[in-house]
Amino acid sequence: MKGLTLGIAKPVLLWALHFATMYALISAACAPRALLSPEHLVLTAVAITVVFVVLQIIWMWSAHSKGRRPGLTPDAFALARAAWWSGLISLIATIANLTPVLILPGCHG
Amino acid sequence: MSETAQSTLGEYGAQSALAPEGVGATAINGLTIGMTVAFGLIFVLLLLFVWAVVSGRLAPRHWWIWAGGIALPLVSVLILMGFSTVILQRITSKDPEALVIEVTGKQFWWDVVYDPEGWAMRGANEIVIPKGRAVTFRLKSSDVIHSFWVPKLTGKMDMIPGRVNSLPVMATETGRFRGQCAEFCGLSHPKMAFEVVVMEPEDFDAWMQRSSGEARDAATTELTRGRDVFVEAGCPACHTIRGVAEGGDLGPDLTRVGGRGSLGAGMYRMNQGTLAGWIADPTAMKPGAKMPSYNHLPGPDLRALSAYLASLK
Amino acid sequence: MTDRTAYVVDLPEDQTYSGSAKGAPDKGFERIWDAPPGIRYLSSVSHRVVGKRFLVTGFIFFLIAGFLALLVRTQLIVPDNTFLDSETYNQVFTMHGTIMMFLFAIPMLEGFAVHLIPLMVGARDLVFPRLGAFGYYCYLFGGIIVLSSFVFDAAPAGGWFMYVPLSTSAYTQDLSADFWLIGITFAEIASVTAAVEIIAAILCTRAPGMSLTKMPIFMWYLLVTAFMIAVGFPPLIIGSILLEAERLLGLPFFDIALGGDPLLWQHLFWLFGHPEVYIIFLPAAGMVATMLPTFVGKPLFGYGFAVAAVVTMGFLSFGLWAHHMFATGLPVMSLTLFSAASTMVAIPTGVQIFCFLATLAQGKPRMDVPMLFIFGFLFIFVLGGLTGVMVAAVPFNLQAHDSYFVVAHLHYVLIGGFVFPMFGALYYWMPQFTGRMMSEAIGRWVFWLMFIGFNVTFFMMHLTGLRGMPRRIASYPEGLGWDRLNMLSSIGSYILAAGVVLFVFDFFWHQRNGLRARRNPWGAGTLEWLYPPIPPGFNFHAIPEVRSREPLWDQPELLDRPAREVEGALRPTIDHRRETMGNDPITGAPMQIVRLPHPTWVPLISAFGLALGFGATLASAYWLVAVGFAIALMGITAWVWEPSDSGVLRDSGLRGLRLPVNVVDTRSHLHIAVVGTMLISSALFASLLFAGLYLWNTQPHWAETTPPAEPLMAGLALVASLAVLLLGWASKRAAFGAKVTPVIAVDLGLAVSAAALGTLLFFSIRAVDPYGSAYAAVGWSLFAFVAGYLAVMIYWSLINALRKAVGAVKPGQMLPNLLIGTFARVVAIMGGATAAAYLLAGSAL
Repeated sequence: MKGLTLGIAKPVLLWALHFATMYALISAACAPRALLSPEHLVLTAVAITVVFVVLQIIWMWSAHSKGRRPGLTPDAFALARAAWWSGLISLIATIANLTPVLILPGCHG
Repeated sequence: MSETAQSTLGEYGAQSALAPEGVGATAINGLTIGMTVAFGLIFVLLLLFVWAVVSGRLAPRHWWIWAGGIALPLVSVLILMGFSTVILQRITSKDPEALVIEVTGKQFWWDVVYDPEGWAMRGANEIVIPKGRAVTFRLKSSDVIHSFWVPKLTGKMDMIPGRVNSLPVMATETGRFRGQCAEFCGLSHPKMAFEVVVMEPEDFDAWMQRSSGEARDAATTELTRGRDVFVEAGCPACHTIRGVAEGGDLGPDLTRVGGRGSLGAGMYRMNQGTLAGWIADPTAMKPGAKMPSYNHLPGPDLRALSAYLASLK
Repeated sequence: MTDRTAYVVDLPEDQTYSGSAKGAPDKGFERIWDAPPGIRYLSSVSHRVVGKRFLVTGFIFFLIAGFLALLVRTQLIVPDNTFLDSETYNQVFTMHGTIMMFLFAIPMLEGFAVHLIPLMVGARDLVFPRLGAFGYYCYLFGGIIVLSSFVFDAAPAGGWFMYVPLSTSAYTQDLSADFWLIGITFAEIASVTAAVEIIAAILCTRAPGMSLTKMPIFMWYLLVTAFMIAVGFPPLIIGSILLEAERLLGLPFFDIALGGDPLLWQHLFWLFGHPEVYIIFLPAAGMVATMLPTFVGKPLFGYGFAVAAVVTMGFLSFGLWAHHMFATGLPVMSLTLFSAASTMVAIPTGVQIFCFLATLAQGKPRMDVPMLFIFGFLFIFVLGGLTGVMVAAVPFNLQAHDSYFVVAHLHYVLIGGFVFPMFGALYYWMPQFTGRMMSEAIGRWVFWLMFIGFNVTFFMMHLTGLRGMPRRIASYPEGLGWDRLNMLSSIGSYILAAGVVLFVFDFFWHQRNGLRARRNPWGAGTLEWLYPPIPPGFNFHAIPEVRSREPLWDQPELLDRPAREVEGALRPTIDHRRETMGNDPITGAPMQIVRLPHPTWVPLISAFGLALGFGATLASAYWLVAVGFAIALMGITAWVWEPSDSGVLRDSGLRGLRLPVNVVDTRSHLHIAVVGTMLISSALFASLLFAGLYLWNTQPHWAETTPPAEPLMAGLALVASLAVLLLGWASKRAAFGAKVTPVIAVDLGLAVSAAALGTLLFFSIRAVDPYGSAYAAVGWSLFAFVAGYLAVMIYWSLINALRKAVGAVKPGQMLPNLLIGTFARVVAIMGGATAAAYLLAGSAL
C-alpha cells in the first residue's frame, strides 16, 4: 500500500527532476557564462532523458503488474490505477521537456 | 512631408494585431486565426458532447478519458507546438544586414538612435523605418521596465534595465502604426505611446538625407526670438537641438520636433498650441513627466518658443 | 510499518499520567466542546469557528476587491475618462489584484478546508486548532495592514506583481510598496500554516478505516493543494523579504549597478505566481468533484484517474512559471521548454474534465443551484483553458501578453475555475453554517446574472486585447477601436455585480426565511452530512468506522438512527479532554488518540505581537518592533510550555481497542507536521540558493569580483553541520527510549553544536561586504536564514532540556526529541549546503 501510494508521486517527481535538469542545462548553455556548448547540450540532454524515460516505463510496468495481482483489494486497485496514470502523464511530459533541445538549432532559435 | 504630417492619433485599428502590416505580425495573425478556429470548433464539439451527456444519450466509458484526457490534448498540442516553433523561429531570426535602431524606454517616452554604430542620428517618440527592409530594434531601458509593442508590425519585447533585447521587424506596407508601452511602468504608463512611420525605401533614403545635419534655421524674427528663449531659459540642460545647443540628453532630442506627428509620446497632435501648453505645464498633460513647468515664461516668449519648436521639421 | 515501537505506559483509566489540569473534569462531553461565550469567543480555536472567520473575512475582501473592479470598469467605460486620475487608478487596479489573489482566493479556500476537512474525514477538530487560529489572526492583521494603506494615502500602486525596479525605493519613494510587502508577507503566514495543518489533518486524523482511497476526492485535491502551497509560496516570501530588505536596508539584490537583476524578482514572483493559479483552481475543482456525484446520485467516475490527474497537475504547474516572461528576451530554447511544459498541463486538466463529464453521464443530474454553478464552471473554465493553450504558444503570447486578451483569459480561468465553483459550494454547504437552505429561486437569478454578466464583461475583451489595448492603462484615446468594446465590458461588470449583490441579499434573507435544512438535505454520500445541519460543535459523538468512499450511501447503519446514536470510536471521554482519533496515514487504521487544545488566547496574543512588530516596521518605530516581537515570543513560549499527557494508553471505545495518546511515532501528526514545515523551510532555502545560482550564472563578472568567503571557517562549518546531523539522529533514537534524564545531554549538545555552526558560518562570511554586490548580499541572506533556524533550534532544545530537568517529561513523552531530531537534520543539511556554497563560490569555478 505504501509503495503504491508513493507510486503515484514517484513518476511525477521524476518529471520535476527532469524539468529542473533541462532548465539547468539550457540555462548553463544559454546564459552569459556559457558553460556548455550546443552540441554537448544536446548530447547530455538526450542521454539524461533516455535514462529518465526508461525509469518511467519500468515504473509504469510495475504499477501495471501490481494492479493485476489476484486478490487485490479495491483500495490497492485504485492506487495502482492512479500510479499507472500518473506514470503515463509524467512520461509524456518528460518527453515534452526534451523537445526544445531537439527541435531548435541553438539557444536563440 | 505629407506622410509625417498626418498622425494616427485615434485612427481605427492603428494598433490592432488583427490588421498586420509586418512580417512578424502577419505570421502571428495566421496563428491567431488558426487557433481561434480550431479551439472554437473544439469548444462547440465539447458543448455538444455535454448536451448529449446531460440529456442521457451517452453512457460513460473509460475511453472517454483516453480520448479527451490524453489524445485530444496531445494531438492539438503537438500540431500547435509545430506551428508555434516554426513561427517563433521565423519572427526571432535576425538579419545581420538589418538597419539597427536603438530605442531606450524612459518614464514616459522613447529615446531613439538610428544606426548607433554609424549614422547615429537621435530622435524621439517617432520611428521612421523603410518598407521591406530588415530592421532590428535594439531595446534598452534607463529606469524601470517598459515593453516595446507595435502590434501591426510584430509581437512585443520588454525593455529591461541592464539588458539589451533585440526585436527584428520587417514592415510590408507603408503607413503610420501606433505603438504603446505594454509593461506597467508607473504613473503615466497609459500615456507612453509612439508611432512608427513606414516609408518606401527611396523615401526613407531621402528622409535620411533630409533629417541628418543641423536643425532648420530660424527664418523670422519671432522664430529667432524663440531660439534665444530656448537657450536662455535653460532648455539645453536637457534637450538637444543640433546646431543650436548640443549635449543635453535627459529629454527628447528636439532637432526635428515639429516634424513629428504627435507630442508627448503619441498622446497629442503636434502643433504650436499643444507645444505651448506642454511647455507651460508638462505634468498637466502627462502626470509624472520629469520636465519642470515653464509657466513663468512671459506670454510672447512662450509663443515665440513654441512657434520656433513647431518650425523645426 | 514503523521502524521502532514506541514506549508507552498502560495506566488504569481513572489515573492520569501527568497530573495535567488541562482537562475540564467538571464538564460533560458536550460542554467541553462548547464555544466560549461573550468576548472569550475570540479565544475559540475550534475549526468551525476559525473556518467561518476565514470564509466571512475572505468574502468581505471579495466584496471590497469587487467594488474596486467596478471602479476600474467605470473609469474605462468611455475613452479619455477623468473619473479617476492615473494615481488613483493605479492604486485601484493594484489593490484589486492583490486583494483578490492574496486576501480573497487563498483564505476562502482555507476557510472551506478548515471548516470541511474534519467533518469530511471524521474528526472532531483540526489537528492544530491553535495554529489555525494563529494563522487566521495573521491573515486578518496582514489584510488590515494592506487595506490601511488607503487611510494613510499610501495605497500600493505598482501592480500586484510589484516588478522591480519600479517598486524599489528609487521609483517608489513612499511607503506604499512597504505596506504591500509587509502586509502580504504577514498574511501569507496563514497560507503556510494552513498548508501544514491541512496535510497533517488529512493524513493523520481520519475516521477508523478511511484509507487513502476511501477519502472523499476533495481531500486529495486539498492535500495536493497544501503541498503546492508549501513549495509554491516560499519563493514569493523570499522575494518579498529580499525586496523589503533592499528598500529598508539598502541591500542591492535587484540593483543592476551592483550586479543585481530585475529578472530575478520575476523568476521568484512567478515561481510562486503560476502555481498560485492552480492552488486556487484545484480546491475549487475538488468541490465540483464532491458536489457533482451528489446531484447525479452516482459516485465520481474514475476516482483513480482523478487522483492521478490532481497529483500530476500539482507538479506540472511548477514548470510553467516563465510563461509570464516570454517577452523578457529569454533564450528561445528556454521559452520553448516552458511552452512545452505549459501545454502539458492540458493533459491532467483534460482527464479531470472528462472524469466530470463521465460522472454526469451516469445519471440525470438534478438542476439545483449548485449544479448550475457547476455548469457555469465547465463552460467558463474550459474556454479559459483553451485560451490558456493559446497564450502558451510563444509567438501568439508575444502579441497577447500584457494586453486585454490576457485579462480576459485570466478572468475566465480564475472566475470560471474558482468563483463559480465557490458560489456553488456556498449554496451547497450553506446549511452547515446557518442550518437553513438558501433560496432556490433567488439562486437561479444569482447564477444567470453572474453568468451573463461575466461573459458580457470578458468575452469580447479577447478582441479588445488583440486590437492592441494594453493592460493597466488608466485611460485610452478615442477611436482606436476599443471604445464600444470597453463600454460593453463595463456594462457586463455591473450585471455581474448585481448577481453578487443579490447573493448577499439572499444570504441575509435566508437566515430568517430560508427553509430549515433536514438531515442530509442534498442526499450526499460524504460524512459531513451525517448530522442534521448544523452539526454539533464536536462534529461526532462517536467517530464511525468507514468502509466506503460514500459512507452515507453504502453504510445504512449511519442514517437509520439518530446521528448521536451512531456507533464508533471515542464515545467515552474519561479524561474530560477534547480528543479525536489518529490513524495510519495510508491504511486509515486507528493508531493513536489525539489530544486537542481547549480555547486559549495564546494564538491571538502571538499574532498581535507579530502584527505590532510588522506595523511598527512600517512606522520605523524600532523600539515598538522589539516590543511586538517580544510579545510574540512570550505568546509562543506559553504555547509550547504545555504539560504533556502523551504516552499513556486509553480505551478508544472501538471494540476494546486500547490506543496510546499522542504516540511517539514517525507517522504521528506532529512528526508529519514537522516534515511539512521542513518542506516549506527547504523551499525557502532553495529559493535563496536559486537566487545565488541565478546571479552567479547571469552576472559572472560580479560573481568573480565579489571577495570569497573564508575557506577554513567554511570548512569547519561543514564539520559542525555534520555534528548537528549526528545529534539530530541521536535525538530521534532517544525519543523512542525509556530513559529521560540522559537525553538532556543530547538536547544541550544540539544547542551547542547549533551555536557553533552559526558562529562558524558568520566568521566565514564576515569579511564580505553585503553592500558590495547583489551576489554578496545573497551570501549574507543565506547566513541570516540558516542563523534564524539555528536560533529556533537552540531555543527549542533548551526548552526541551529544561522541561526534562524540572521533571515535566515522563518516559514515553519524548515526542519533542523525535521532532527536533528531524528538524535538526534538515537544518544541518541547510547549514552544510550554505558552507559548501561558500566554499564553491570562493573557488575558481
